Amino acid sequence: MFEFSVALKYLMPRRRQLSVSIIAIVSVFVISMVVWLILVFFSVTTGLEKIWTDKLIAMTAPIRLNPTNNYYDSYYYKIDVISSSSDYTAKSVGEKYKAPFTDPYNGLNDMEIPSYWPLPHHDSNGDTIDPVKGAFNAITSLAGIRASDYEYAIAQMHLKTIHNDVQTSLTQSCYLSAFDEENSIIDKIIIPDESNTGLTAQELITPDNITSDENVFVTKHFRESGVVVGDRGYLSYYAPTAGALQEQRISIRVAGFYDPGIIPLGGKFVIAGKEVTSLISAATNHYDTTFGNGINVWFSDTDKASTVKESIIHKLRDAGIDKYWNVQTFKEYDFTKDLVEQLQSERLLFTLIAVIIIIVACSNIVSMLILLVNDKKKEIGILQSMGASPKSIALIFGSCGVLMGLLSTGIGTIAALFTLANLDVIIGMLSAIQGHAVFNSAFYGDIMPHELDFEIVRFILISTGFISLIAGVVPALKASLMKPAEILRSE
Amino acid sequence: MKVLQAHNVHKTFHRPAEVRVLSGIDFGISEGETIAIMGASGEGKSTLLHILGTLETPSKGSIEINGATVTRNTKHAIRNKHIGFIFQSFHLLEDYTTIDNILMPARIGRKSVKKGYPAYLHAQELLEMVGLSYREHFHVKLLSGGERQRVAIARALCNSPDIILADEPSGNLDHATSQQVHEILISCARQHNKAIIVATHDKELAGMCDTIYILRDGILTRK
Repeated sequence: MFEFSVALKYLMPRRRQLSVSIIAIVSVFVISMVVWLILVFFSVTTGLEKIWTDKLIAMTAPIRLNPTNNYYDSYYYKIDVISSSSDYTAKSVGEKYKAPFTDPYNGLNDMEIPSYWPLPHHDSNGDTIDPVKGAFNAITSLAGIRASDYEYAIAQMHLKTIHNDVQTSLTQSCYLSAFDEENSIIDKIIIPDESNTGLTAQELITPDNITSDENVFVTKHFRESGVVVGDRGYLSYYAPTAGALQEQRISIRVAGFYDPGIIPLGGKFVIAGKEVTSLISAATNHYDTTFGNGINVWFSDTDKASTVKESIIHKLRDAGIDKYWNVQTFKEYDFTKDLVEQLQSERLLFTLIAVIIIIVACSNIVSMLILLVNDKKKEIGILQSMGASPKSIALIFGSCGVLMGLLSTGIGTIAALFTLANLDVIIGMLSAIQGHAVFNSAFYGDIMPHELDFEIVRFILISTGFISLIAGVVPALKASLMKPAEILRSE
Repeated sequence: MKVLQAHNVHKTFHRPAEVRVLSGIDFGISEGETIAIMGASGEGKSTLLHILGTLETPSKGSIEINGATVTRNTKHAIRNKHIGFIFQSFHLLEDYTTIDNILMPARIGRKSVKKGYPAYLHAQELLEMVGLSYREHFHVKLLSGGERQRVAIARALCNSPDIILADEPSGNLDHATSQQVHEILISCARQHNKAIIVATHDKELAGMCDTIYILRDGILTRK
């Protein structure tokens, strides 16, 4: 295209148009720097977010279904406490899933149902609706999606460590989180025990290890306190007996450590066997609508969490059991929501700042192009005398603006890619200059994470292109409104 | 049929003071005809040429090219296809080579100007015709005044226009070079059967044209 080739010619630095060339080079440099800064910042925050999210999901699954108050107030949930076949105890979601009957009540043997209790929920065929089995069926009917029940319990953990003839006791209240057999990404948070047993994460989470009743995985903070793999202790909890509440103890062995990431309650979680968790949970009878138990939903592409959530809700609605379940993605969990929202706010804030910086940087283009228009006045007249229309003239100077924007984006992107490829070297140098680590490994890990976000690259390309085009509009209009006869007469 | 026809063309400049330059010019030129417009400096020869070449809009009156009235929307395309300009100070694009300058009207007209394509071959022919084949890839800033004006003549003929408008084509050249340029200009036009309107003070160049007009007090009269 003729306009484009003329624009390219105009942008080539020349000694004859020194001032224009200097401003053009400075503009390109400033915009490149801004693009570089934005890409590096977003790549690092995306990398961090991904690592944090991965750790979070490895602990909690990308989607969870928690029973609602409707569930706990339902005939379906309450009936177990007066049914002999349920041992007169309320059941967890997992137990309900495995229970042989949807309605365990036997009118002949069991006590009379209180008159104020809700009635059983029947479908249009008159069959009793099973919210738990129905939910499992609804979830697993979606392609590539798995479901498993989860359960938490609260206990007191006591650990004894003896090293170099020094005995230490550690006691901490903790949340027990049961191993989930459907969780195929738990190895992402298990820390290899290189210094002690030499076992890798995969070797630490063998089926034997995770199904054992005594093995537990504790957070890496215990390792920092001197606990090693193989240390022993017990979990204590209080269970009602015929006489009173009595302390019960279950022996445990530290089978490994995990990195809880930045979950606020991360340091309090202990990953334990499913049987142990279930036992303590049943004894303390601690179920609530937000935390105690529910259904984990597993699938590979966590970016599609919102879509999967909508599909699940749709299926639950079709089955008539949506009122019994609260479906949440990992971004909506009570203990992660604040963090995810904060990350999103920071990204939005920095995006706004970035756009403002780009606008300021691109404003240089306006001055440069106005100078260029004045410099090329005679050529504008000559081109018009040969039939170039005002639109063509405007396009030449508009293209100059866009070309400068795109060139700067290209340079900035290459510089950002180079920086990201050598990020650890650069951070190492900065740390050496500063005398201590620039970034705390507790938050950022041992290696600074980064992942080039193509959404951001696209955003940068479009925004710099657009802002540069806008910057080129005023000079382009000025050029297109010039009258050829006046120019040629004056020249 | 006239390739160019001016109907009752008036031009008045309002700034800095009101100056009436042209007062009702009726004038036409046919294919292959050569016309010289003479007149004292400041009489409006360049203005008339600019108006005839659609570079400037008349205050009153109209211009017809090949029977079609020039409008705001059509003047750029008409200028590109039907009119070739030659200026006193050459007005070449300094950052381009000789061949690129000649090809510029073709590029503006969206023709392909790659080597071997008709537009390029035509430009090479024109270069040969003005005797500058050996300067094809020279930057025009390295050329002499006479060579520059010959490049300008070749450029004016690039899109095979019907009319060539030359404004003091030898005004900046010495006598010998001027003669050379005059001969090339007139012979090229005759060879390609183009209509030429030359605004000039040069009696020798005017003498080479078929008709001479005198512009005085805004009125064009045949000599």
